[in-house]
Formats: sequence, C-alpha cells, structure tokens
Amino acid sequence: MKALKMMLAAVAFAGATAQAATNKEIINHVSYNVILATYNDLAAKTAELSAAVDALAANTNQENLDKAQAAWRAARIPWESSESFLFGPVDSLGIDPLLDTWPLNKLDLDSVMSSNRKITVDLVRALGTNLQGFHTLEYLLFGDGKVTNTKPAASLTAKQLEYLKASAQLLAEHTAELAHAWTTNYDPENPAAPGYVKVISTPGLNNEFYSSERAVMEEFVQGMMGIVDEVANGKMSDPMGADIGSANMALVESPFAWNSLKDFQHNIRSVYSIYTGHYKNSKGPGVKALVEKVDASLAARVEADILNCMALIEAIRPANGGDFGQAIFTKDGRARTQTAIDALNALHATLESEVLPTLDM
Amino acid sequence: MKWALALIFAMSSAAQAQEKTTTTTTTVIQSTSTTENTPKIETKAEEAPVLTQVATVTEVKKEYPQFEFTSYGYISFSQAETFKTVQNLDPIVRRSMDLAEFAFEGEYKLTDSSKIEFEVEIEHGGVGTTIEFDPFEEFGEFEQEIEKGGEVVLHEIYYKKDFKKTDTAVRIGKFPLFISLGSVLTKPHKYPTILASDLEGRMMPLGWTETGVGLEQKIKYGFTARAALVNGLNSEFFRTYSWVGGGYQRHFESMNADNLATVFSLEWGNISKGTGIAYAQYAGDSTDNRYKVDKLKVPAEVRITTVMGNYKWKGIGIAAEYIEGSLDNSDKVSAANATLGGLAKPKAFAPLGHKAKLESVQLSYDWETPGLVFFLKAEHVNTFADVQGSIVKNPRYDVSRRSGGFMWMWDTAAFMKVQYARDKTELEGLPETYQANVAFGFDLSAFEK
Repeated sequence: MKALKMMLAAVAFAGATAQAATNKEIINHVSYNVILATYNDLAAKTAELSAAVDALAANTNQENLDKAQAAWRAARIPWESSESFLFGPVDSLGIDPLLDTWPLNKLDLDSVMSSNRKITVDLVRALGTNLQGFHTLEYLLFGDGKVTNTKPAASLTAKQLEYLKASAQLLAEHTAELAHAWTTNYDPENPAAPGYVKVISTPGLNNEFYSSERAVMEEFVQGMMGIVDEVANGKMSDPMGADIGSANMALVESPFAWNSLKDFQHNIRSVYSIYTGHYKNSKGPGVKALVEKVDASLAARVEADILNCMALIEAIRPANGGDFGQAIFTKDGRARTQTAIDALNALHATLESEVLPTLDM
Repeated sequence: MKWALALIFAMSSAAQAQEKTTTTTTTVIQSTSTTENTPKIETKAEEAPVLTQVATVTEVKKEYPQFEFTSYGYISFSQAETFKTVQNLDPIVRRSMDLAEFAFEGEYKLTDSSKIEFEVEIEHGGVGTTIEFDPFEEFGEFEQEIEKGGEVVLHEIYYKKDFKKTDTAVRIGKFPLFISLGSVLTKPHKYPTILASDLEGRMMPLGWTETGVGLEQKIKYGFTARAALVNGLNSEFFRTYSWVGGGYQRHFESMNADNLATVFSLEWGNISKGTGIAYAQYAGDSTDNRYKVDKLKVPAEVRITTVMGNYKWKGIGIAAEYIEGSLDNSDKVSAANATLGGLAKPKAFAPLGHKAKLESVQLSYDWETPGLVFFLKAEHVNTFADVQGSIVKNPRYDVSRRSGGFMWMWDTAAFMKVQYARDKTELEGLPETYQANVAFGFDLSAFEK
C-alpha cells in the first residue's frame, strides 16, 4: 500500500513538473513583462511628471501643484518597484544615483538658488547627484515633512520653479535613457550592442554577462535579497537609530512627501514581482516556479512572507497621520518598525539559505 | 619619450667616462687565513695584480653593496567636530585613533656614486584579509573577509646616479615629485605640524610620487634645477573633494601611461633643510590615461605651478607655499565622470573646478634646549576658484584652516606633536568646526641632522 502511494505521488509530481515553467520561460517573462515593463512605465510617468511641472511653472496655482505632487507620487511607484533589479544599465550607466540619491543636499541647493546663475537642464546636470533627481523635486514640491507634507503654491519662488522644470526634464531624460538601454542599446559607446532585455533573456556561452540560465536566476535572487536587506537594515533601521533620542529624520527617504512607507512597500512589491512574475495585469512564471519544482511548501511560504512584509510595513503608518518619519519618534511606531525589520531579515535569511540553493537542485 | 631615453643614454655614457677616469687600484681579499701562507687575491685593476694589503678576517670590509636603513612612524589621536548628515548641522564630536603611518626607508649603495633607494609605508595599521570556513553558513563555502583597512605601499623605489664632476644626478623609478612642501618635506622631524601640509590633499596627491625619469643639476650660487618626465594622472578619478588628487593612479596593478607629464623646478638653497625657496611646475594631460577611453575626447591637461619656501634663522622659521592649478575642459571631464558605473561611480562628487588655489604660511620658533618647536599656521584652499561651462562654484570647497601647536622632540628621534585647528568653509550655513590632534612618533632620520 505504501509503495502504491509513493508511485501515485511520483506520478503526480511528474505531471506537475511537466507543466511547470522552464527556466527559459521564467527568464523571458520576468525580463520582458516585469523588468522592461517597469522601466517603460517609469519613463512614461516621469515624462508626465515633467509635463505637470511645466504646467505648474506656467500657471502656478494650488490645483497645478496638487497635480504635480500626484505626478511625482505616480512616478515614484515604478522606480521603487524596480529596486529588486538594480543590475544592468541602471548600474553600468550610473543612472541610479542620478535619479534617487538620498539625502538631498539642501545646503548646496540653497547655495545654487541664491546664486545668480540661470537654472538650466545643463546646469543641474553638472551638479552633484544629491542636487537632482526625485528627492530634489520632492523637496521643492512638498512641505517640510515634519508637520505637513504639502505647501501653498504661492510659496514657490520663480527660481524654485526654474529648478523644478530643469530637474523634472532631466529626470525624464535619464529614465528615457534607461528604457532605451533595456529596449534598444545597452552601451552608448557601442551602437551594435542590443537592448539589455535581449542580453539577459538569452544566456549562453556567447553571452558576455550571463553564461547560463542559472546565472540569470542567481541575478534575480541576489537582486531580491539586496533590496530586502536595504529596506530592513538601511532605509528603516538607519533612521530609527538605537532609541528615540537617536532617531534621525534626515536619513528618512521621501520624508517631505510622506511617501516613505509607500516607497518601502513598492520595494518589496518588486521582490514579489520577480518572485511570482506578477506585474500589474501581467501574470506569468517567476522565480517561485523554479522553487516549486524543488519544494512546493517553501515556494508558498516565501510568497506569504513577502506579502506579510508588505503588510507589516503598511502597519507602521501612524494612526493620527504622518508617515515613517513620524512613526520612528513614537514608542509604538518604533515597535511596529522593528517587527517589520525582523520579518524582512527573516525573509532575507530564507532567500539566502533556502531559495538560493534551489538554483543548484 | 624619445628625448628622455636619449637623455638617459647620454647621462650613462658620461657616467661611464667619469668612472673610467677615476678608477683606482683596489684590492679585495675574498678569504684569508692567518695560518695560510698565500691568501687568495682578486683584483679589479687592469694592471698586473699587486698585493697592497694583507689582512686578517676581522679586518676585511665588504665595500659594496652597502645597505643603510632608516624608519619613521607615528600614531595619532584626534577629537574633531563633524556632522551626522548634510541636513543636520549641529556639530557632533567624534574621537579617533590611527596608526597613521610606519615607514621603512632603505638604500643600497652600489658604488660611491650610485644607489637604489626605496620606501615602504604601512598606513593605518596595514591591510589584512582572511579566508573563513563555516559549514553552517553560506552552505559551507570558503569566504574571504576583509579584516583590516589600510595600505601597504611601495611609496618610492628608484635608482639614483650621481655624476660628481658635473654635479648632476639622474633618478629612474618611482620618486617624489618636487612640486609642493608635502612632497619635499617627507620626514616628520622636518615639520612641526602633524602633516607637512594639511590641505594639499584636497587639491592634489599628498606626498606625491610618480614613476619616470628625473634629472637634477646643481648650478652656481646655490641653485638646483630639476626636470622629470613621469607618468600622468587619470582624469576618470578626479573628484570634487580632492580635485586632481584622485587621479593619482593607485587603483590598478599597472598605471596607464598613454599620457606622460613633465615636472620642472628651480630651487635656491635647500628647502628640505630649512634654507631654501623654489619654483616648480607640473604639466600633463590626463585624458588618454582613462580606462573608459570613449567617454572623453577632449584634452584634460593639468597644470600646477608652485612657489614655496622653508627658511629658518636663529630658531625662527617660516614655511610657505602658493599653489595654483588648472584643469582644461573641467566641465566635460565632470560630465564624462558623472556617468561612470560600478566602483568608479562618483555619486555626488563629479563636478570639478577649472582652477584651484592653495595658500599656506607657517611661522615657527625652535626652542632648542628642551627640543620644542611652536608654530602657528594659516592655510586656504579653493578648488572652485574658477569654473567652466555649466559647473557651479561650490563654496563648500573654499576652505580656510587656522592652526597652532607644538612639536616636542624629547629624544633625538622621538617626538610628540600637538595641533589644534579650526576649519571654515565659505558655504553659508555650514558652521566652523575644530579638530584637536596629538601624535606620538619617531623619526630615525633625525640622527642624521
């Protein structure tokens, strides 16, 4: 009887694996329908942000400021949702720091504002990375981040509007360059180089970067591990400090817009996308399909852990308003933050010690 | 390059000619015994062997090569104000200790007119890596761990040939550039401050040595002229906080030498001994030494001009320098560097000034009996003295430092240095900060005073 059960189980397993996605299918789906789709969204949303900022500069009123703020938040979603795959052109072309350097250097920004230089795209381009990108726009569009996350449109100066326009245009330019690198040409110095999506989706001995499907799968898993670690031990842990007295608002990412918790959630959402292959309406095989072949219960557990981490991050939000930057200054907010950090570190350990080895099984 | 090779050839020919005219009969007894009747004799003379001396074993002295050795080093303790982040400008105080430097300097004398000099420096306690193995972590993999930051560096190694008849010297190898007080006053007992120049490192390589060939010629009336052809800088690593200093090629095993640089100087007296003044000039392109050769297609010539002096009279000393530098196409270099990836990513530090300036004056009084030297020093550096294109002058890199303190040489070669400094930048809103340093060290070269 026992032997019969084992045979049935073996047949069932064989049937299941016969239908499971191959590594090639996983890589194709993730590369085109998750990563490339995210970068295309990013380019589109930052172009919309630039247009919204232009409209604000042309007609500075509260309605247009609200629209520009909404456009900033919308552009933030695909960017933060890309942080589990910060490999390829976003790294090799040095685009990441141009988009998302934090903390913003307010001191130098004030110095530029007080100079008599005309603010142009080229001028902002020549400044340090901590004077351009998402957080410079955030600083100028939103409130002080301490007591409010908005401001009256009338408080925007002509110089600030000039800087906003130049920064938004530059941001859109960089994200367009990033999308182009993935779709068309990953190396501007070599016009014959294909889009990076082709490179990553066709591993093999002739591939300069990925000699095997395993190498691509490891890139995916290492990317997931990297952002889980950064959210837990960098983005959340650093500003929290050892106690309330050492909590540091200046280290909080996206504090002016009170968008920190959304940022963190989208970071983990990007882990979910790589893992499950789900991005917006697109569904297909992700890393989970590979893990399932080895250990179905582990595959399900990891998915549940990822969703749990996102829920725990949302739970940090203070009931009486504010965001992460306010939560770390309250005892219960810190406790909720610590719970999320612990869960993220546990997820990281699972990815490292249980998911990563499945690549070799 | 051709002229350098021709120069070396000409100098070595001249050297040989000088050697021939000064050859004398020398006899070296390789092995001898007082109980043997006939000692074995080897001769270098062209004439028939002549026994000029019969000696016992204890009297035999091997003339060349001779090895001489000296060493110096120091440990420092500091307390300094700094900031948590750029958005939090209430200064906090941090303390640190640093096994800052330990150097071995040796020379092999090959003849009475030629030698090989070298210096090995162990900075910040050296470096260290280990391989670890833990079967419960990382699936039982061997892991390489960095155990200690720091540096072990062959700071200089060169062959030096003196041509005594013409008062000429040639250096071949890696040698200090005669371009600033920081690269001329290399021994700690020669300056009372903890570093020879505190702010030079914000503008150019500190203690700058390069590989190449150098010629030194003593002229009448106490003048010395120097010329060198050396390896150029790499503009890929120029950064806002150190201007062209980061281009000092130490990142890779070999140095790119597609661009060379020239260094000329004229010294009157001897700056190293506290009796001289000098004018020096460095010039060299830095574009072709980049690794990413296609990112920059315009020249990035670096020119540095220095006037410096170090003079002591009846215990009163003055050491001063003025350095002015320029970087061609600094805006285009900044733009090319801004898009570097990976470890070369400059992050917020890509913008570069077109012109940089440094002024430094130090007054000192040497109270000889207890071995105390008191000093006051004022320095100023601005690496955005002028800009090109869309680069903005950044007042954070316009820095003034005032310091005072003393050096106490309580033994011939052991010293304690105390220095208190205040830094101020021209960036509005950035508070002035202080740092207090104490250093203990030794300098065996002080015995040679």
